[in-house]
Formats: sequence, C-alpha cells, structure tokens
Amino acid sequence: MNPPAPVREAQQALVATLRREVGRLEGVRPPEDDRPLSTGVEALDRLLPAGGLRRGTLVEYLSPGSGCGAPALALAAAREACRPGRALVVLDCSSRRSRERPATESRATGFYPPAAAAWGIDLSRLLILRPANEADALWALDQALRCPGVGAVWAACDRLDVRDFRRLQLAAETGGTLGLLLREGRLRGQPTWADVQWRVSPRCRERPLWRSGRADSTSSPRGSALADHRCAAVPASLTHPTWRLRVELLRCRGGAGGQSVVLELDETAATWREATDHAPHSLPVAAELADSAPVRRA
Amino acid sequence: MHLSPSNKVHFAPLMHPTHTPILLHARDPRRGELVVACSDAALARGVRLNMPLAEAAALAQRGGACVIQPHDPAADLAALTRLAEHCERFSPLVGWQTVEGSKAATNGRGGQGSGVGGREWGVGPDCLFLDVRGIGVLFGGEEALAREVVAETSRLGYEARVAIAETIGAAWAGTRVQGSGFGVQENAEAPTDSRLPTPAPLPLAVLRIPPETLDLLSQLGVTQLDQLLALPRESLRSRFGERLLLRIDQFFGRAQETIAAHRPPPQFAAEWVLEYPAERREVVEQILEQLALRVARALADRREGAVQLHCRLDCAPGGPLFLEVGLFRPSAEPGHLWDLLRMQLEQAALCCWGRAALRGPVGRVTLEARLTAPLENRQGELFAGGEHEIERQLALFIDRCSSRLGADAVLRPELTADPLPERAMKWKQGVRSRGSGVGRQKWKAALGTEYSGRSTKSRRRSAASSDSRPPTPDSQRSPLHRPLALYDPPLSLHTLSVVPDGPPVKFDFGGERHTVSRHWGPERIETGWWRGRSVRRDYWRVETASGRRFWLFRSLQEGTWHLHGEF
Repeated sequence: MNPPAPVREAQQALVATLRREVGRLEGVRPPEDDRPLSTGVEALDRLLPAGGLRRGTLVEYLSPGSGCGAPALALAAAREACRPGRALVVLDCSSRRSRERPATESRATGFYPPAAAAWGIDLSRLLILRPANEADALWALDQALRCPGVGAVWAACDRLDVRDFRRLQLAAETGGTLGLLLREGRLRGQPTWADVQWRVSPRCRERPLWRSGRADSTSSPRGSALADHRCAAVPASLTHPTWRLRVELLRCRGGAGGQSVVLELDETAATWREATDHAPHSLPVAAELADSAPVRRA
Repeated sequence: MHLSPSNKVHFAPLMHPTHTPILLHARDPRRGELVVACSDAALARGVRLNMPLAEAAALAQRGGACVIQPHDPAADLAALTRLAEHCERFSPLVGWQTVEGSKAATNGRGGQGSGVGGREWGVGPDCLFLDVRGIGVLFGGEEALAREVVAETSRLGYEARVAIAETIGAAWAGTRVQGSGFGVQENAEAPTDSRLPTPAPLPLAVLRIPPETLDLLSQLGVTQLDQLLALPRESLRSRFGERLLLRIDQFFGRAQETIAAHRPPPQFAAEWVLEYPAERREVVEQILEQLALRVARALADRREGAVQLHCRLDCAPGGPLFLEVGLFRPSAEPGHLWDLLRMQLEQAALCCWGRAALRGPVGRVTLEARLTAPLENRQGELFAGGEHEIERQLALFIDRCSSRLGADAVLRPELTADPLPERAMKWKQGVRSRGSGVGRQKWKAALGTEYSGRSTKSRRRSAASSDSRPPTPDSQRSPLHRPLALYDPPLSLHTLSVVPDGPPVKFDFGGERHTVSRHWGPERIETGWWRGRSVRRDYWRVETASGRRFWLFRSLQEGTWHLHGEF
C-alpha cells in the first residue's frame, strides 16, 4: 500500500515545509542549531515528530503529585541538554522563606544534589538558585533561560501567568536553552507556551506484600481494594521489580499528542527504557467489574 | 629570602663606632624601664635583654662610654622602610609583613611569600622578606645574590643574616639557626618543592611562635622541632591553638603565606562629592555610573579586574548606605560593573527608598574595588559562541543572580563523604561575599568560597573523622539510592505498622492515606556521639499502591516515623 519512494520523500519534504510555515505563523523563531536534543529516553524521542526536543523551547512535565518520577525524567533531558559543557541551573523554589534565614536552614523540600549526581549530572556544572519570593523566582528563571552559557533550566513552578509564560518562552528562544518545568497535573488543559507537554504518572502492578486474604481488603477503602485485586489479576510473570512510569505526550508543537508509553528504570545504568512486556490492554475494563464482587459479598 | 638585621641597635643613628655598647630601653608597665635591644658590645659587657635599665647601664658603663637611648618604634619602622626601599633592587616584592592564604592570588603572585604579621612578640618587625623566586639567575646564583644583599646592607651600616628557602617560615628559621654572617640554607636552597625543609633537629625557636608557647612547650620537655612533629596534631590544636599548627604548616609549605609588600598596592577607588546633596535617584544612578566607569578604567589600565566592589552612599541624616557586589570572575567592564551596582541599588531602593525618598539626600558617593585579581588575557574569537564566550556569559549570569538574589541564594553543591543524608554535601557560594573574609578562605579562580551551615566545631570533627575517605560514594550507587527532593527537616508521619522493625503498611501524607505496596530496606544510618546529637535511623524506600515512591525512616531512639524525601 505504501507509495513509491520518490513520492514518499516529496510528501515528507512538503510536510516539513508546511510545519516550518505553520511554526513561522505561530511566531516561533527556528533556532540556529536545530538538531534535535534527546529527551534522555529513546522511547520518548520516538514519540516526538522532530525525533527529540529543540533547543530554545520549554518542556512541561505534569505529574499528579510528588514522588511520581517526573523530576528524574526531566533530569534525564537536562543531562542531554548540558552535554557540551554547559551549565544546569536548578531553581529551588520550594525554599520560599524569609531572607533572614541562611540558605542552609530548614526548607520544605529541596533539590538534593547527591541524587542528581547518581542520575549522571555533573555537579561542577550545576548551579542552584534559591530565590526568596515569587518575583525573584520569575526573574531568575528568565535570566537563566536567557543565558547562552546555560544548557538547561530545571524548575518546579506551578503558578505561572500566561504573560510570564510567554516571556519565559521568548527568553528560552533568546538564550537557546531548554526550559524544563515541573508542574502539577491539574494544570492540564490550561494555556501553555511549552513546545512539549508530558504527563508522567506512576504505574502500579505489584501485589502488596502484607495483604493476604479478604479480611484485610474489606477493612480497606474501596479504592485500594480495587487496586489490590486488580494488581493480583496480573500474572506473576508480569511483575517487575523496577520502577515503572506511564508517560503521555499531551501536547507537542508540530505533531499530534495523545500517544503514551510505559517506561521502566534500568537502575544500574540510570536510564529509562520502554517496558518490553507491557501489553497495551493488560488491564481490561472487565477485570475491574469482576473485582468489585468480593467487596459486595463481604 | 629573609634578611635579618642582627639587632635593632642598627636602626638607631649610626654615628657611633660599633665597639661602643648601645642600649635601647622602653617602659614596661610593671617592671619600669627595661632593655629592649642592645648591641653585641653591650652583650659582651653582660647586658641582657629585659634587664632593668639601671642594672644594664651600670654594666655597660663599666668599661667606658656607652650610648643609652629610649626605644623609638616609629624611627625603627622608618629605618626598616628605607632599608626595604634599598632592597627593592633585589626583588620586586619586599616587605616585613605576611598574609596568610588568599592575597597571593589577588596580587597575582604565587608561592614564596610573606612573613610575620607585625610580630606578635618582641619590639616590632626585625626582618625583611624578599620574594626572590627566579631572581637568583640575574645575580649569578642564589648564593651570589645572598652575598650581594649582605654587602649592600653592610654598606648601609647593617649587619644582616640572610637565608633563602622555599617557604617564608623556613627562610625565617634559616636566619635564626645560622651562627653569624650569612648562609644559604643548604636544605632549602633549590627552588623546587622537593627541597622543602626536613624536620631536622632544629630548635623550636625557628617557628615564629610567641615566647609563652615556647616556654610552655619547653616545660613539657619539647625543645626540638622533630619532637613537636611527633605529637598528634589534634591535641596540639586543642592545647596550643591554631597558630602553632599554622606556623608548622607554613614552615613546610603546606599553608599558603605571602609577603605583604611594604608599598601599599594601588587603590582602585573613586569618589564623588556633591556640593548640594542629591535627593533624586536618577542623579545618584548617574553618579554611580560615572564612578563605575572610572574604577573600571583604572582597573583595566593595570590589567586587573574587580572581584569585590564596595559602594558607600553618605546620606546626610540617615547614615551611610552600603552596597556590596561580589563577582564570579574578575571583570573590568564598566557596563557589567554598573549593571551589578544598579541591581544592588534597586534592592536597596526597595528597602529604604520606597518609604521616604532615600534615607536622606546623598552628599558623597564612594566606589572602591576592595578585591581585585588579574584579568585573564583572551584572544578575541573570530566566531561567536565559542567555549570562552559560553564561560563568560555564565559568569555574567552568576554575577547578576548573586547581586539580586543575594550571594547565599546562588549555590554550587559539593559532595562530601558523610553518610548522613543532610550532610552529604556542602554548599559553596557562587561569588565571594563579605561573610567569607579575605584572609580566611582560599580564593580559587574558578570556584567560589566554601559555605557550610554547620558549626565550625562539627565541621572540624567531621573533617577529622570522615574526610579522609574518598568522597562521592553515592554517585557510584543506583540512582534510586537517594531521593531527588529532600525534606529538611524530615516530616513527621502517622503510620500503621504490623512488623515491629519492619516498614509501615500505611501512612498519611498530603491529606491522603498511602498504602505501601513494596519496600526496600532497611538502610541503617548512625552517626557518632561526637557529632553533636547522635542520629540513628532505619531508612526504607517504599512504593505506594499508586506507584509513588518515598523515602521514609524510623528514628531508632524515638521509634517515630518520618518522611525524608521523594523520588
């Protein structure tokens, strides 16, 4: 069914031209260095139309809550963007305390560099900014994105005005830096100036260790009982000890969103790869219906 | 190299023949007039230092005429300055004071350096330090140079002892152990590091330590340098203080020391006095811009760049306003300096300008580059975006951020070998700031100053206990070994456990109840009692039923559960 090769090439060239044209209409200035930048995960690169991220753009990672793996995934992209000796700037916004306290005193959650080192970040090229208030944070983010000496900026910022967002995008375009923004999952569907928007959610497919039998599951809330039984329905061969994340491409400039992939962590190499034994429909709807029966009986 | 006039009498007028005994006396608050210096001829007649003047005068006058004069430290210093000026023909860097640590880099001179920071004992400086690195060749060898120095000083009427050594401490020691005349210390004469002095059986007086310490040590039976070195360092520190260890280190070249030139280095400062005090901010900005331009020009003329800028605005009623700017790398660009100053001015304006148009009208503006370093010479690049350009842009960014956010908000992490997660790294500031004094910290061209929130005591302890191990064991481990976000301090958790020493089954956090589905651990982390409050924790990595991963620990002392991080 495929068209002959010359026709296909012509079609691809046309699509590329159109994409550029549309981008121009959208006000996107193509960077001088338009080689794609890897996201650090091969499976994610494949989802992107350019085969990777572009310098001078913003990337959003939405996650439903803390501990979901989005920071690590963003860090993998930062590692790639900082490859040729550029600096990584981390904006530690969580420390919004008064200026009187020294920076090393207690904060809510802070970026923890030893873990970043284990993820392959060169600590000598890592700079951590701790702005004291929101205005300073925005200013610092803007300055970092504008600086050509910075490869990537890693920041957790939930509250972002649309105008400020556009300002950041222009700053990234000016400096040719990659802006990695970690944001809350509820911001999905809000206006964004990010080129790429990922949604990262963890996957559970494991049978809980202490839960054995029905007595315990009845006392637990209905939701977790469902999860419990659903997990139990997965064959033992599918249970895997490593961490699994489901990453969905929500939005992507110049491409279609909506595709998703399940990643698993290779702990020794500190890299993510596509989970091979992942079947797209391994959690059928029917199983969920069947699960509720024991609860009703109890 | 170290030149030591054999005694202070020579600083006095030289009109008397050398065989006439000369005494100098000064008033001691408790013992009255004492002899503080005397000539060899006086020594020969039995006069000793610290002898009451009446007794000494009687002894000295026994054999004929003698000269007795009050000691005049100012005249001494003036004579030493004149001698230093004479010695400038031998070395570009002559002085009698030394600086520990950092000024070397800022003056652009490494290594062989400096001396006694105004003698803490005795009656004022009695030696000159000359930086003769690489200069011996010009005089036909270092020994010939030393001879020439002695000849020159004796022409001026001084009797000098000269020693050339790798370190200032060793040179000083060399002049003390020599019998008379001059000598090039044979174990330290070669200008290589391998010829640093060895702990020969030298008397302890060769270290520049106060006589009280010397007395105390001799009471303990320690009179030789090698005896002192055999003692454990830590106990020396606690008994005799940091100074002794510093002197030992300086003797062997392990601690940096520089000669402070007797001519003060050029000042990079500019001042603007207003006839009518200015109230408007625009005027002040205009003046500051002009001053930045002047300072930058003065710096650029000498190929120096500012590392620290201080600005003082004298506001008539409200007292002066100080601005301080630290730079990541030396710069003499007027635009950049002004940019940084403007940001500081804006911050200050937010604090005080907003309320009442400044604290008061500004009558005088002073700008000074307190700390400078040589500019790096860089050839211009044909194509933009080279590596140097990237470095330069990054430096500008760090300067700007430090200026607006504050120096302790721009940090670089450095891993340590401490097993306690909170202490597994240290923070270094991006730029130099006032908190890190000039003399205390080494200034490395690339990195800023060390910044650590711990008390010096615990840092010292941990330095002794753990820093000897190679650092960064964590980077070898799995990336999931430590979480990317750490709670500091750890959050207390409500948990439900079944197994006594096992992980929790459920815990409440963030308004939800999390069920633990998988866990890894425990990893026990304990710290020694000598590190302050002892810490004993069992860490667990847990995965909840929804797939989120947390790092929990149970305090073994209290038995309570805490959330310490998120992956």
